[in-house]
Amino acid sequence: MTERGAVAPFRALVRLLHRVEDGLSSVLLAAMVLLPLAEIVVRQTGTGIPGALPFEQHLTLWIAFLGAALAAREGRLLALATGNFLPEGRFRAIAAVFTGGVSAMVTTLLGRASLDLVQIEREGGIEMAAGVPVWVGQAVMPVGFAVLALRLAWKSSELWAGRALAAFGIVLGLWIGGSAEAFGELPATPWLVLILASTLLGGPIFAALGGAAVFLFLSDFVPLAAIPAESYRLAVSPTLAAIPLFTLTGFLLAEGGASERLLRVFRALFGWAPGSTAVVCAVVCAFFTVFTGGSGVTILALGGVLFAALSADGYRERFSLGLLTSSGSLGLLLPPALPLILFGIVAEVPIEDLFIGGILPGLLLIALIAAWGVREGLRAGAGGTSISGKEEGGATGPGDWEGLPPVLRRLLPPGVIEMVSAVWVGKWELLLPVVVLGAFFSGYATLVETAALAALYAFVVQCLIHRDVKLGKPLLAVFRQCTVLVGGVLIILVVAMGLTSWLVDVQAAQGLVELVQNNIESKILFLLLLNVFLLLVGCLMDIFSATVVVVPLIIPLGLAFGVDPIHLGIIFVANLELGYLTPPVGLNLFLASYRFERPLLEIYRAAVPALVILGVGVLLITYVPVLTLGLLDLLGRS
Amino acid sequence: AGFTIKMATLSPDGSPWDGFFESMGQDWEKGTDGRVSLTIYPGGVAGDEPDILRKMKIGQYHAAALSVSGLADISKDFTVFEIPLFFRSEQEMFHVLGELTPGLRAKLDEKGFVLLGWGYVGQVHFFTNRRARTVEEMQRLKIFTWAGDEAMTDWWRQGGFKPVALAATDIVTGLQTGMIDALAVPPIYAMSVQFFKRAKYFADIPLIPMMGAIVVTKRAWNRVSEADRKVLVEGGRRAENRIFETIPTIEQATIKLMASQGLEVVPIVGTEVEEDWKRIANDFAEDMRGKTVPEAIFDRATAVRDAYREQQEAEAAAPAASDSGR
Ligand code: NA
Ligand code: NA
Repeated sequence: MTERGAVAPFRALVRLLHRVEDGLSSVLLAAMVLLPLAEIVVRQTGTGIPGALPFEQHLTLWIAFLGAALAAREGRLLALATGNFLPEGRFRAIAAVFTGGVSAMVTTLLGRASLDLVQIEREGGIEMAAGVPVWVGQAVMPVGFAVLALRLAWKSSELWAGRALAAFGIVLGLWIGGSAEAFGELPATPWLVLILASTLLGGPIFAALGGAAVFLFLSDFVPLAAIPAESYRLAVSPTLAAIPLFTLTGFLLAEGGASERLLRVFRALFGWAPGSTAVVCAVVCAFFTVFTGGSGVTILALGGVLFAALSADGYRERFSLGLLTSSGSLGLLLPPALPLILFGIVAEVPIEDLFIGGILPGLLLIALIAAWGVREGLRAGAGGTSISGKEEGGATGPGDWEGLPPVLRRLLPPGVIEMVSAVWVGKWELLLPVVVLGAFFSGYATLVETAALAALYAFVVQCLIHRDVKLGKPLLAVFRQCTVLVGGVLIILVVAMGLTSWLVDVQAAQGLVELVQNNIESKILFLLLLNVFLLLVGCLMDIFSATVVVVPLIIPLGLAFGVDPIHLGIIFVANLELGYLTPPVGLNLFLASYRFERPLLEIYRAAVPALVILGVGVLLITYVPVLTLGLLDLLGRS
Repeated sequence: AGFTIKMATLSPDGSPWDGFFESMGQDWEKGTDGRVSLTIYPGGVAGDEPDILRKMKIGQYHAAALSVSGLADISKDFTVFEIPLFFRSEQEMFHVLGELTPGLRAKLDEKGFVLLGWGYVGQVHFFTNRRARTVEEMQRLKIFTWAGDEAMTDWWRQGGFKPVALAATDIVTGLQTGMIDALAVPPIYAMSVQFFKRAKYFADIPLIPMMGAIVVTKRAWNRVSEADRKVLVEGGRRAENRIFETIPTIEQATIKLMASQGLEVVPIVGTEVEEDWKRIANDFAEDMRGKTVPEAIFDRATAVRDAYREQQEAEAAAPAASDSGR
């Protein structure tokens, strides 16, 4: 934050507030991990912690708003990638003031509406648990939106004049909120156009979704508190806490040396075959994405080391770029990937059925990408590992397993020694899926408790066993980064829920079912149109808000055409996975461009083969339902 | 322009209740010449009952068909319908309900709601994934309770049961993985959510009649003319009658249907273990009085029920007496 010209006491105060904010977010995230763990322990004694789940749910709400405020402070609220096309300089500066002002206006309206909600809840609301009223939990919403609005205005420009212009948005928001009836008489369309313009120019996505909800509800004369009421409902839904917890797991793994250790294991196991490095990249990326779930962490965390490995093994640069860009979304169908969890929450279908249903389709997509890699390896003559583990970091080098008896060390060929050592060194990471899926499917822990267990496990492995993440400041930095990312995602989710609520209010799903049924009879045609529609959604929206807004619309459609909801869920996520790669605005394309420091056009070209290959996979998943439902049938779950 | 009353409910789209609400809406529209119509938001699309209540206070929805758990969030007096084995028969329950209605109506009125009619979801029964007939057998099973409902969880524990507090979304998984073994729900609900496929034993003792009610916010009520309100009330009364007449029959048919699909009915009522169940239910009831169920409503309901029982027993005895005199 630029604070030139501000007086010293003001600066000190701001610094203090920032420290309180950082500290609070870390404490709450830690509490989110510890509370479900304590509940697992206490449950063994036949009792439970009073209010454990309600408190956990409200912690998610707090993390969402604190994280969003932090993201705004760092200018890291998620935005459409279209903003990146703006030319540098004057035009970009003006656009920033415009988007800042519009977003601040929307955020102010949402904040005002949240305040109404809190007041209504105070007047005759219910208890969260253990004597704490619900409104205390909700109070974070108006405060969070207020901080967001101020920061949006502040960050919109380096100049006081720019900030003042953007802050006019706050005034406008207060005015509109105060005369809702009068604004209800006006059509919503001009406002929606304004918001769309701001979004395309790089305004934050949450403001786009929230702004649409605000003006659509206004024009229907529905009190705006309906929006935060629905945001609150989603934020405190019992399973949502799994998302921040699995994200924390992913962050701890990414910050620790997990990627190097896993890379070494898979290379030791498969490195002898031509094209194997490509296969290994796909598998390692999938492994990571399972836990970080579409947040783009995979490309950012692993892109560098994997790109280096591919180049060293003689893969063409364009192939390597394409592979890594596409691998960033591999794994979204494998348990416990976050998009599946969110789909389960929104569609109200059993999450474990989605987990089981996603296994074969998920493996199929990995296999297709891997096959592409093998073909490239054969063609380019690339493959066999040229980089030994040692060059990637002394700690994970071969032979560092002291437990291997000297006799074996002399007898066994070096390749086998490396294999055994690599597996031994990476055993804790390799066991993570066993721990997570075992705890969940054995009935030992609920999904949220499983997620907390995974976070604890990752903490123990990375911080205590391997000590790749030092306790104290480095660990706090991981917590903080995780909160920023989670907040950025959750704020979009909870605000998107307000837009969904409007769609429910106007009974959009029923209307859509009628419209589609009157025009389409064949299920095949319906599925094809669904594919095209979801591809468009996937390249315009992030997977999380797409789930919240689009799933309630397509579930009744699917039922009308006899598509199993679990199958629909897998089609949905697979399609959106593809959307990430679709030019011009697929999210992974931008992340890859940023990570590998290549122009977007080059990334587009590199990603085309992967797009085609995965497209075939998505069509297979769509039209061969047994891929999804076969395993479920086998287990007697359908 | 007409006034569209937006009514939210957890009753699923296409369920019997949904059908009754639809016809209520048609009655309203016809009776008011289109001045008042009804749009139903079924199946929890508007959220769970606390969400629905919140949105009614906000003004997004005007009406709701709530279960007793949502009603209890408006007034604690509604917990009187959560006392286990309190009624011997549905007739007894309907009689007591009739007597308590004026008082409960007043409670709703105090909180800004108008009672349009009662609803009924059916008798809550245990569904278990291991056969359980005696109280001891049930006490060995892990029973689902609502996370956040501490009072309920505490009763179970004090009664020697093993409650496991989970979110409703964890029920299916919990039954599958063995985190829970049993849950208490009305049969029609168990059928619609297919719980009975994962909890294949049906303990044949009705625990609690799950009541409901159609309520309208006063704010919406005040937008309706005096004459049209009569039409709305009449529509609500007809929906109530239809529900009371048909749900018990549908419930019996549902149990038969589930039995034909693999549900094993475990007999309890009329067997030697019934007394044990009554005893433990009585302990529960005594514990609830003053804690969850306000004393006044508890005592009033008990008095009305006992008077009705006496009268019924006297009537049953009367023909017998005349027989013996002949
Ligand atoms: Na719901
Ligand atoms: Na809604």
